[in-house]
Amino acid sequence: MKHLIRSVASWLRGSFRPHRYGGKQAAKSQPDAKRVGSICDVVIGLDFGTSCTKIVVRTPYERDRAFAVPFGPASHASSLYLLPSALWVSDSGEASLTSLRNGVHVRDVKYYLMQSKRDLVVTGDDGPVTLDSHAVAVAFLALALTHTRRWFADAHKSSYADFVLDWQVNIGLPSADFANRSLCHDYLRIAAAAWHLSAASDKIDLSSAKNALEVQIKRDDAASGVGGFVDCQNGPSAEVKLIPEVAAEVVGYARSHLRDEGLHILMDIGARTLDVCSFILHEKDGDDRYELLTADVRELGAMVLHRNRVEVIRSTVPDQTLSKLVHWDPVEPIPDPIEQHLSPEPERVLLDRIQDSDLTYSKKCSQMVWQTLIDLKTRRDPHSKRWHEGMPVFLAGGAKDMRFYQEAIGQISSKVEEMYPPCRGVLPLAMTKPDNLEAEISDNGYHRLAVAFGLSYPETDIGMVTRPGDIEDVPPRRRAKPQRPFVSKDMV
Amino acid sequence: MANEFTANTRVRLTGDPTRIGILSGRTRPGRPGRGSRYQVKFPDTTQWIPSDQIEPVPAERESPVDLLEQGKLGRAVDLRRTLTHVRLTGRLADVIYSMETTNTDFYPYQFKPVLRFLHSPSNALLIADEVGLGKTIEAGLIWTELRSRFDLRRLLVLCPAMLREKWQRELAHKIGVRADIVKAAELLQRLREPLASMHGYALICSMEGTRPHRGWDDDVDEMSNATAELARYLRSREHDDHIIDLLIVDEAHYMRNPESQTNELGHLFRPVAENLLLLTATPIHNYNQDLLSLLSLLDGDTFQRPQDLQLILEASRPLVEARDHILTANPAAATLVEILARAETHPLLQGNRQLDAIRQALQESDCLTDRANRADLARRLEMINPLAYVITRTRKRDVKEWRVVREPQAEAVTMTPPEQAFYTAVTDFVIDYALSRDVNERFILSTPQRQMSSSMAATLRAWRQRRDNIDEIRAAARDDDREVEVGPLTQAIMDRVDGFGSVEDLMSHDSKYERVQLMLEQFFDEHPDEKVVLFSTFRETLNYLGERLSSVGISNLVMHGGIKESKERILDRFRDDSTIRMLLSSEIGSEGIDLQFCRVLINYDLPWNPMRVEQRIGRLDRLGQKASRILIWNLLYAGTIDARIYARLYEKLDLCRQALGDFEAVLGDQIRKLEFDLLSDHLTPQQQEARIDQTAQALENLKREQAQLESEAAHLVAYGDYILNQVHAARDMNRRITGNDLQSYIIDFFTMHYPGCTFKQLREGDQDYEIQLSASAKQALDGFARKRRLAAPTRLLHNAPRPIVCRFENRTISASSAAVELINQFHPLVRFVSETITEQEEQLSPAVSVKLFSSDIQGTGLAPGDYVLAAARWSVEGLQASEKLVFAVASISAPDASFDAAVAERLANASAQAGVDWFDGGRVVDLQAAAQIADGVLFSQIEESFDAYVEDVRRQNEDRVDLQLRNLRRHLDNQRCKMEKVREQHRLSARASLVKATEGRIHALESRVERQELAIEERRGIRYRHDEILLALIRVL
Repeated sequence: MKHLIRSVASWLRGSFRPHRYGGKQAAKSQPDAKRVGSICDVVIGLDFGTSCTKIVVRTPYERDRAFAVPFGPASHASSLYLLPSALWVSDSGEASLTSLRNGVHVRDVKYYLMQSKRDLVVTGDDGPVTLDSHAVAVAFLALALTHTRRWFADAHKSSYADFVLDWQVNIGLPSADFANRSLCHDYLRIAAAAWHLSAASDKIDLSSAKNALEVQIKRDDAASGVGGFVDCQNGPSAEVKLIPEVAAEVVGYARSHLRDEGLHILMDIGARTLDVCSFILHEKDGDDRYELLTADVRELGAMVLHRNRVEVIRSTVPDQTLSKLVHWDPVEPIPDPIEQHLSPEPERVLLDRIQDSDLTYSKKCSQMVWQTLIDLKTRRDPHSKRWHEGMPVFLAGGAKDMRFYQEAIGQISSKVEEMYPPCRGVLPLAMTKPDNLEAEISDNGYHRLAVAFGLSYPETDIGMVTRPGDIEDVPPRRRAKPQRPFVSKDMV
Repeated sequence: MANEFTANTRVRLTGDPTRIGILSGRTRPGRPGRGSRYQVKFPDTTQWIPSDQIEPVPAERESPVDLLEQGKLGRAVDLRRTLTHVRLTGRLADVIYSMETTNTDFYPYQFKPVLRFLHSPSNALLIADEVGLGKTIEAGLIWTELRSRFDLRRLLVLCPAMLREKWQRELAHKIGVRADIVKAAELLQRLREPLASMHGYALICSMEGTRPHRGWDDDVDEMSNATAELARYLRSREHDDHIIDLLIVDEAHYMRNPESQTNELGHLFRPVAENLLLLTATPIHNYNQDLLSLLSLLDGDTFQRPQDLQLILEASRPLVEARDHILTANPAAATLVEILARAETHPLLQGNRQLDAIRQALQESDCLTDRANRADLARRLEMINPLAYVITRTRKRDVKEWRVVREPQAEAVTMTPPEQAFYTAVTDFVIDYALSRDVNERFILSTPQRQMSSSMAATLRAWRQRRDNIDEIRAAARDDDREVEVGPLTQAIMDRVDGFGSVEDLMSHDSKYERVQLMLEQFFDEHPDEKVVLFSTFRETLNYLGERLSSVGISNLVMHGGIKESKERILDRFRDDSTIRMLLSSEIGSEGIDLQFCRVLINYDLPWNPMRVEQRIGRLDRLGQKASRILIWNLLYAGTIDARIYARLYEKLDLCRQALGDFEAVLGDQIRKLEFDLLSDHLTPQQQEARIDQTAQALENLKREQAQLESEAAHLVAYGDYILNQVHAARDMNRRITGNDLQSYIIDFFTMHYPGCTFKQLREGDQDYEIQLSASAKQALDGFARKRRLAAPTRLLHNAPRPIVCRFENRTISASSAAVELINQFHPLVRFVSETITEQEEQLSPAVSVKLFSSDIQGTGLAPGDYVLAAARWSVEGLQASEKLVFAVASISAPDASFDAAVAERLANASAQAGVDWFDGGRVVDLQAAAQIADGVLFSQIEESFDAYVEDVRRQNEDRVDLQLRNLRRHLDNQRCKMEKVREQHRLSARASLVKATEGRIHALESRVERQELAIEERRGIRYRHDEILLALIRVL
């Protein structure tokens, strides 16, 4: 009414009407505020780690919000967002993310998968138990996905309750395994089966997991392909995709103002492994491309370092109490320096031996990285501008901030400067928590979620990764032969 | 739907309407059951989006209310971008564009002249602040403001020769303007050059080197000299378009004498300069002839005769009276009405519409009960005051940041026997000399006595050296074709010098030096990092002290006219070299230099004239002095006339403790009289004391009179508080543009409209970017630069192989290196984007949803809850064009509760700076209700205020038009009268061609004035516009 009075008063005064864009009262459309029944794309980025799993959920077209999923009682003590990659299995085949009475605790769910070992043996109260590693993985992932959907529906009901959710699951694969097509197929199949199980079944146990896997195999055979769109009759469908972790790790950087195309190195220092890969980032027709030039993974992770040290201690001081060190939780940062956890204070000879052991270990790590650099310089990308500017390196993984690895990188950098002038050595790139990630973590803690965050981008936006095998070496430049002077008779 | 999705279509996400991109034309199959995916290029990235998640951006702009109703809500960054864009138009009346952009500390009073200048009816202002308050900076801020608002480019500074380098330094270091020092010939060349005129310049020249000689206009020799040629050129351009955008005249009191050539210089420049600033420390009095002289330079048509100034003072008196009455505790409407009725009878205020409106407003019964109303009435009265925007004056005592206390300390030393003997011997010798030649011994004695009072040893040494070297000095002078004149007394002294004692004896019994050395050693012991300044009138003293202090390890620099090294270089070394502890300076160091990094000053000898001492102290006691106390050690010989003057004059009148201020001008006469009397009569010490007491008394009386005059003249300078409040408000409300604002503004625009441009951030959280523009962006920017005639606009237009490193920082001068290009509000990129957006009438996402914490909006009184905020832009154009951003806010749960516009603005700025996206806003709030509040309450409220604002501006504009027309007619009458006289002279001299030429000039003048009158009259009616630019849903947590 007030609005009407305003209009009439203005007309009577003859004054200029308030200007609205378009010069006229824009037609008021029907309110469509809540867009009830509209589709909302939801992407689940699932980082299936060796020691723990992390999940980030994103709604890329609804304000591009990303949420780190907390796992409540199932989470690791150090962080709500870390789900130990482990499963409790009862003797009846019941599966759970939290402990079960009379159940066996299956750790290293992923490890067996990556080793392509089908039989998984665990020791229970009644002796060793053999399980199907693939079924275990399916059950684990299904439980994680079920928890994720429930949490999302609960925690963000006010934002998304009125939408029809369209799901996509991106699961990460270590870069070094990307070349192994057989492994890739297994992985994808397991993920698709897990979705199906989580979406369509009420009960998740080893038996239903095995069934889901068999059904998926049949589906894949029928579709002449692996994974892809998982169409559930009795539950939400989803697109399931396998994404190389290298792309997931750096997609945030690639989409930021810090982006600099060209050669990069990624070093992921985990509990068990040290993953080093190199890639060229560039854009083609609006899409990012990651040309994976080299990819190497070796058991040079922090826990292996730790075990080496423990072994040195055990062999030098047999009486030393080591149970706490031996059973160290791989999710926790390893004790460093280890001697601070020894009582009584260690002797000089022990410290020297630990130091020697570390030195040997450090050499192995350096050699691994150095091999990558040599490969790049000699054949993979010898003409890159990085050999002048310096080599940008992403450091990722739980152990990236350890002094041991930082020193090793520093030594490598000095050697690069020395061997390849005018290269300015190794240039570490920092990854800070993105503004749109809703999680209670600091910048320092973000690195654990970086892969999951990257996986939560829609697959079409992450970019394409080309396998190393599909990229040829750069032929060496031929030096121009000096021309022999030839004087023909026409010249005289 | 699919037909709408062709290449280059602008689309937005249905779930995030502020995400706008362009379709590339590429598609790929979508998920089963859904349409294809389209590749969309957004400003920051490229994505593949399902077709059901995008919609075309409507061609016609949508109203904020509609967008709110539909839930098409943007983010905090969109709010910031919209406000940035509006502010960048450079026309907002309540934004001070020069604030926080220069390399100066923030002092609110320094922005008073900026605001006054912007309202000046004659585009001119007299800045009459006391010494040391930073008039240079105030002038620099005005230039920055003019550049920002009007893109002015041609700056000329006229100053005394010794201040040229100082201006150059301060403009460069504090204001970010590189100015060239030029002489008359080069100035003329630059003024004539059309390209320089287009691209702009910043020049500094001296008054002494530019003023024409007397009779220059009769000098028929065209090639006489550069100053005459310049004068002729300026005269020839006086009726043409302006050739200078801003003329700053420093130490403008040098132009006060209407008979002087410097004054004529001012009058030659005035017609060719669009804007004029006069800077002076001269005190302001009603009866001050100097003031009228300067005002006539500012606005010759209004201030022609002394009666003009009196007339204006009479007109402003009741206005000030009314203003003062309004601001008392219990103002009475009847009293005010009576005062204003009186005011309206004055010829200058008859028919003044603003005054009439105020009288009408006073009829309302409650108009004086509301404090805000009263402040507004006071403001409006001040705006009517004809002098309000002609003069601005700030005194040190008015500046609350100025709290430096001066602590003078007299150190009277007793002469040692050798010193006494030397002093007596020389004195007796000179008296005998004078008596034998029948000349006044007091006069000729004064100089040797002053020298000896300064330093006995140095004086004797200097005489000896002169005697020993006179032959060489004469020979050297002859080589240079000079003659060295030695006065007879000096010659006599030199002849007798051996009989006055030994230099070594005096040096080893130098009581003054020993005292100063002791003081300095103690001081430096306690304050090892501090430096000290020492003044002396005599070079010989300074040289002597320099040697002796160096020999005891007190490293120092000597500065006087005989030193080859430049003053600036010496000062730089003194300031920057931590090993140098002292500056020993003559009077050349008492003008135009800044020593506020020191807090201890030694007057090794004390001039009788306190003005000279004040000049010395003023080098330390000035803006930027961080210490709370300045120590002033005054060294004297006990029992001398200096000591008597100090005790009876200085100490009695506290001349060192307080700045002289206005008192300074009247001191000179009294001191001269005192000097004459003391030197011309042979007075006993008691008689001398009595004479000094007489002067002290006279000075005290004068001081009281001056204070009285100053208080009566208060209405000459408008009440400053309103302006200061405006300055504080502009700062507190964050009405400015930051580097962050510019960064997102520029990057979003270019990556949206010119794909292919790259902006690479160098470090996380930094504002340094490597920028490379696409070919089309360069072309568009180049076209813009040409259209706007920007010289060497930006390196981004160069075809450089590597990207250019730029920093987004809204300052005129940056701490970054020269290799980094600064992008501030003046940068061509910013101007280009601003103009393009305005021309293309882009929609800047005017409905947003944000949340913020209560701690971010302290002082607003807003409780946690949900609010709707509306913003509108008012644009008014009459004689002046200005815009205003207006805000209103209401609580969603209690829309009838009203909040101040200032509260709404604070909320808007805080939301832009600290707000975060409130994603659920569109879902949890009843958008229909919010839209109703926006439309029916907030915009309605704003519109009602708009009507009152328009009426207010209409009145001001009409009054201003009347004033300009009146001035124009007066100008016409004056000029015509002058030219008619000239024509008559030519006629009487039978110079027919000149008669004709003059008639031509008269005719041209009349035509021009007629055109100007029409142009002014055309702008009597104002054009105005009210745009609803923004709505926001805000949750306060």
